Amino acid sequence: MNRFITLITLVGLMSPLTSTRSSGEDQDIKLSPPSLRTHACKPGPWGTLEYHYLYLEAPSSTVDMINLPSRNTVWWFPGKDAEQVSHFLLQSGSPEEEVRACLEFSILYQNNRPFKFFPSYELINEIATTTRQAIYAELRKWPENKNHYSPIIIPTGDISDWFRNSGLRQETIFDIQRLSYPLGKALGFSDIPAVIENLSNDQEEHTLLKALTRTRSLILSLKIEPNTDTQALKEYWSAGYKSKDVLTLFDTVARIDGIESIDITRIIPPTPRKHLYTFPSRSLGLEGTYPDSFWASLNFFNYFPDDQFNDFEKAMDYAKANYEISSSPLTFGDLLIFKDAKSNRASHSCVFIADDIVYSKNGRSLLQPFMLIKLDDLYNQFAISEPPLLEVWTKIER
Amino acid sequence: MLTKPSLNSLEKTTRKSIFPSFLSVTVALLCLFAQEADCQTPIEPVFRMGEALQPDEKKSSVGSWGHLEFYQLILEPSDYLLTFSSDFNKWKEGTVWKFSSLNREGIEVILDNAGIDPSLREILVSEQHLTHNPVSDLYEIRPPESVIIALTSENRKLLYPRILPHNDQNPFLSPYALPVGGLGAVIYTPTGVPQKQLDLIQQLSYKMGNTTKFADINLVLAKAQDDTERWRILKTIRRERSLSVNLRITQQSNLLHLANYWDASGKNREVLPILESVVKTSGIETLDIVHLLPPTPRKLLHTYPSPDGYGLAKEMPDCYWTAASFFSEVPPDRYLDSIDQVIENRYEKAAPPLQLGDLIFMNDKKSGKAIHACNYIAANLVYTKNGKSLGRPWIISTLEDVVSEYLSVEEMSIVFMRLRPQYKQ
Repeated sequence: MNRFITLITLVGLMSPLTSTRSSGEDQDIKLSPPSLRTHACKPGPWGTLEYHYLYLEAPSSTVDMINLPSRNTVWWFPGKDAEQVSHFLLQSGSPEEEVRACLEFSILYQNNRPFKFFPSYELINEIATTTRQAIYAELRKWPENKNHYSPIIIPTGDISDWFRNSGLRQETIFDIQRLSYPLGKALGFSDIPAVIENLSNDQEEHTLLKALTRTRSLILSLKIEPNTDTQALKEYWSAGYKSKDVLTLFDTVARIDGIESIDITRIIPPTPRKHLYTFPSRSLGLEGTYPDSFWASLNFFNYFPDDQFNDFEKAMDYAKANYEISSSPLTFGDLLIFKDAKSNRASHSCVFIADDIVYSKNGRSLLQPFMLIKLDDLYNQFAISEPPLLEVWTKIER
Repeated sequence: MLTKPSLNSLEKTTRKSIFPSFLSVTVALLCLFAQEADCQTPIEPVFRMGEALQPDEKKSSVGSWGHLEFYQLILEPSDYLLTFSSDFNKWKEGTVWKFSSLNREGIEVILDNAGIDPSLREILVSEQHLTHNPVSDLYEIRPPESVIIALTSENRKLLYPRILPHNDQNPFLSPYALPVGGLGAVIYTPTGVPQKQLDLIQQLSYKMGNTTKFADINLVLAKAQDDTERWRILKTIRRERSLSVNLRITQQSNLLHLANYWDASGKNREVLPILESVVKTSGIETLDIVHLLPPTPRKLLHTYPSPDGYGLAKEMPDCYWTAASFFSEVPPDRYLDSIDQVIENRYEKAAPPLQLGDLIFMNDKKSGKAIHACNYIAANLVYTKNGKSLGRPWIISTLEDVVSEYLSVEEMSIVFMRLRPQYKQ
C-alpha cells in the first residue's frame, strides 16, 4: 500500500484570499486601516483559540550581514544571445525603444557567458504587470537571477498591510506595490535595486532590507472560560502524552479564577517553545548547518533536538520509519509534508497546531524565523510555480 | 542497577560551593527591602515580604522593563512525574524513627534534647514502641499517631534531623519544603483532598528558620481513604507558587526603552524581533514575558525537570545550574558539576540598576556558605529553581519569597553578579 497518499482534501483548507490583488501601473493603491481585530479560530478539540497577526522582521544585526545590493539590475539569460533575449523581451510586451537602448550596454558584455541583460530603471518601471510576470517567470528558471529565483513573497497579496509600521516611507511602499507581480496566489517582488534607486541614505536602505525580511506570523491564545472542558483540552494538547509538560499547566489554570487566556507558547513542547518567534542564532549553526523545516518539525516533541535531522535523507528516513499517513482529522503534532508535484520530493514540512495554524521554519536562512503561520499563507509561499502536494503524517504509537 | 531519580531527593540545596570572598558584596537583607533614602537598594519592592497575591489579584510594576502585570499561578507536578515518587508505596510501612545509639538511655537523651514532653517520651521509650534492630544495629521507635500529632513544631525541628538513615528517601532528613506561608498559601484552589487531611498536614508542618517543612507523610497517607486521595495529597504538598507575567503594550510603549532593557546589553538580542513586532502591531495589548526570556529559561519556565532531561548520573539541574545557564543557548553539562569557575572568570559585581539575568547569590553570612542562586528578571521578580528535586519546577517568584524560603540561617548575605561584557553566555 502506498503510504504516501496525497491528501487532496487538505488543499480545501486553503481558503481563497480575500484581499484584492493589484496589477499593472494603473492599480488603485489604498492603505487599509490598522487591523485591530482579534481573529477567532474555528471551534474544535483544541478549544477556543484567538489570534493576532504580527509581522516578524530579522534582527538588525542579521540584516547588516546582507551585502548591499547594487542599484543596477541584472537579468541573466544562460544559453541565450542578444538577439534571442531581445526577441523574448519584445514578445513579452516590453517597449521596443527601451529594450534597444538597454541592449547597447548589454552587448558590451556579450562575450561573457551567460548573457547578461542590464535593464534600465525606466524599462523596469515602464513594463506592465503582465509583461513583468512573463519576463520574471523566465528569469526564475535560473538561480543566477537571485531576486527572481527566490523573490520576496507577499502571501496575502496586500502590500500596504504587509509593510504597515515597517518604517518605510509611503512612496517606497508604493514603489514595491507598483513593481510587484502575481505569483501563484501571492504577490512576488524582485526589483530591490529599482526601489533602492529612490532611497536617499543608508538608514532607508537598512529599513528596506529589514522590511523585506518580513514574515506574517501570529500570536495565538487559548481562551479559558468557566465552562472550559480542561480534560478535553489536556487530551488534545498533550498529543497522546508526547507533550507531558502541558498537563501541569492545564491543571493549574483550571483552578485559578481570573485567568482568561493563556499564550499557546506555554502549551507547546519545550523545543518549539524555545525557538518560537526567534531567528536562528549563530550558535545553532555550530555543527555546520542551520536548522530547516525538517529539523524543526521532527524535533517538535524532542526535549533535546536531534541534529541528524539537518541531513535531509536522514530526516526523511526517520520520518518514514516513525510516521504514517493519517486519514484521521488533523491533530496537534501531525506533520504536514509539502511535496514537489513533479518529482514527488519533499520540499518542506511543518507541524499542525490547530484549526489552520502550523508551526514552521522556512528554509535554513538566518532571515527566516521559527513561527506560527496560517497554512494558507505558507501554502501560497510554496505555490509560486506549481501547487505542491500536501501529505499528513502522524506519529506511529509504539 | 540503575536507580530512578527521586522526587524526594534534595529538597534543599546541598551543593558545596563557596564563592570567593572578594566577589562578595554583602547587602543586608533589611536594607534590601527597606525604602530609606540612605539604603542603596538596587531593587524596588513591588510589595512587601509576606504580602501574598490573592488568587485572582493582578499586580503591576512600571520601570525600565516597561509595564509588567502579574498574577499568581499554582503549579503541581504531573501524574507522570509523580510516578517517580517513592512515598506513594512506602506509607504502609508506617512511621518508623531510626536512631543510632549505644543504649536505650541514649535514645532518651535524643528525645529530651528535642524538648519532647516527658509524658510523651515515656510512651515512646516503652517496650511497646521502642525496639532494637540487631541487623542494622539501630534503635527503632514506632510512635503512636497520638504522639506524632502531639509533637510541637520545635520538637520536630530538633528531632527529625536526627532520624536515620542518611539518604534522600528518608522524609525526616529530606522533608517536603512547603511554600512560603505554608500549605495554606497554595490550597485556595480545589485540591481534591478532604479538609481534615489538609488541616492535619498543616498541624504536622514545622518551621526551620523561615521555611515550612513537612515530614510525616506516612501518617497522612495512612489516614487517606484510598489511593486517589493519596495521589492528590502527594500532588498538593508539592504545589508551588509561581507568577505569570505579561508586558502591557500601549500606544505609549517606547520600543527603544523596552529593547534596551530586554536586550540585556546584547546578551538577549534574539527576543528583539517579537518585541519590535508586538509594539508596532495595533491590537496586541499584552505579551507574555516568556517570549522575552533567553532560550533556556524560555524553554524551562513552568516545567518540571524531565527524568530524561538535563541530568547526568546523580546530578540534576539545581539553582546554580539554572542561574548560570540563563543566557546559554544550550546549558553546559559542566554546570551540573560546579559553576565556581565560570563565576570567577566570567562574572563581575553588578552595579545598580540590576539588569535582566543578573545572578543573585544568597549566602550564609556567618559561614559564607552558598545557600541559593537565582536570576533577576525585572521589578522584584526572579527566575529560580528552588532545589534539585524533580518535584520542583522552574518558576518566576518575588525575591522576597525566595529569600523567605531559604532564610533558615541567622543572617543571609546577598551578592549580585553580572556577566562581563565580553561574554554572551
